[in-house]
Amino acid sequence: MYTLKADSIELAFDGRKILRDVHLSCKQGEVIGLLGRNGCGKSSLLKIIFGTLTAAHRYVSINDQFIHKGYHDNRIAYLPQHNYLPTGIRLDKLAKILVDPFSWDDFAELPIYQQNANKTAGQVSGGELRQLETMMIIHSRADFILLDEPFTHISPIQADAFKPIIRACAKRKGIIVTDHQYYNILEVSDKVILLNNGCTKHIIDNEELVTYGYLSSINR
Amino acid sequence: MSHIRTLLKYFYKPILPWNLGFTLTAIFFIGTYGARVTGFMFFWKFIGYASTIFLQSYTAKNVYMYYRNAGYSIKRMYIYAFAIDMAIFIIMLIVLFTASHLFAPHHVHTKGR
Repeated sequence: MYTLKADSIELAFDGRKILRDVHLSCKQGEVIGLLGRNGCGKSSLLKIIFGTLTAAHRYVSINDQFIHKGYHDNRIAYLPQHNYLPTGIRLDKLAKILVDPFSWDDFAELPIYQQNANKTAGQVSGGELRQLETMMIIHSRADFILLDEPFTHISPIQADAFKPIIRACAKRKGIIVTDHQYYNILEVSDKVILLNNGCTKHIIDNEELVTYGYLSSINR
Repeated sequence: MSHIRTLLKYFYKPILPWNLGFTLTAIFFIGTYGARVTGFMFFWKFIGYASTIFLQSYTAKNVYMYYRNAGYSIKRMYIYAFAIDMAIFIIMLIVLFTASHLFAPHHVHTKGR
């Protein structure tokens, strides 16, 4: 059982401190929901953990072993907000590199893959591409998965279809997921962390999201 | 690790025409002006590599995340791709120098003495 820890993370842009007292941990088998207002540093935090954004200070470890770049040796995979698949290469070829051979059968059974396997990234719609990219990351080799807005740009019914897949994936991996569709995050997560004024607040009761000014009220 | 060759192919494909342009230009100038410009042409090739990284950072930065999610850093991908490109350039130079040595008029003249 692995545990990912991110501690003492500090990030500033132009003298403005974005992250200053951030600590979180995620075990395999757990889904951590990360919420916060626009510009509070959610994506930056995920990039720092993944190793593509340099912070003033950071300590990221897996089982207390310091991780310099999260993506080295497929320890951590990251779904960015933007499309990331190279164009001009068939999706089945791209998928075979990213997807874990142990998860290949599950991945290959997905309707979205079966419908588009022989196409390139430029030949599918934006929503379809987003689904495929998300599924490739979820089924990747990494022990920990960081999902940045996986529910954005896809239809509600597809978002509903994602949630059991994320839960199933969490049996083997640790997942940190962020999105502005907070109800999806609350539904899929075991724990919720709110980023507020650069600090992480571990949410015990969803009413705290109102207390900290993230929501005006809890409703769906 | 087993996917590195395939990944390199995907990574190198979009930058191949640009670097091939620099390679062929360098070969043309060395063929025209002789071995004395070889040093400058290596410098020319490095300008090609720098411009490739610069252009890619504007046009294809998003796809870097694909290679990272495959477990490889972008620095490593560029080092591998440019090493292959440089090896091709050196092989072309060797072929050029060998051909010019074999078929140069003075060589035939010397041999005839």
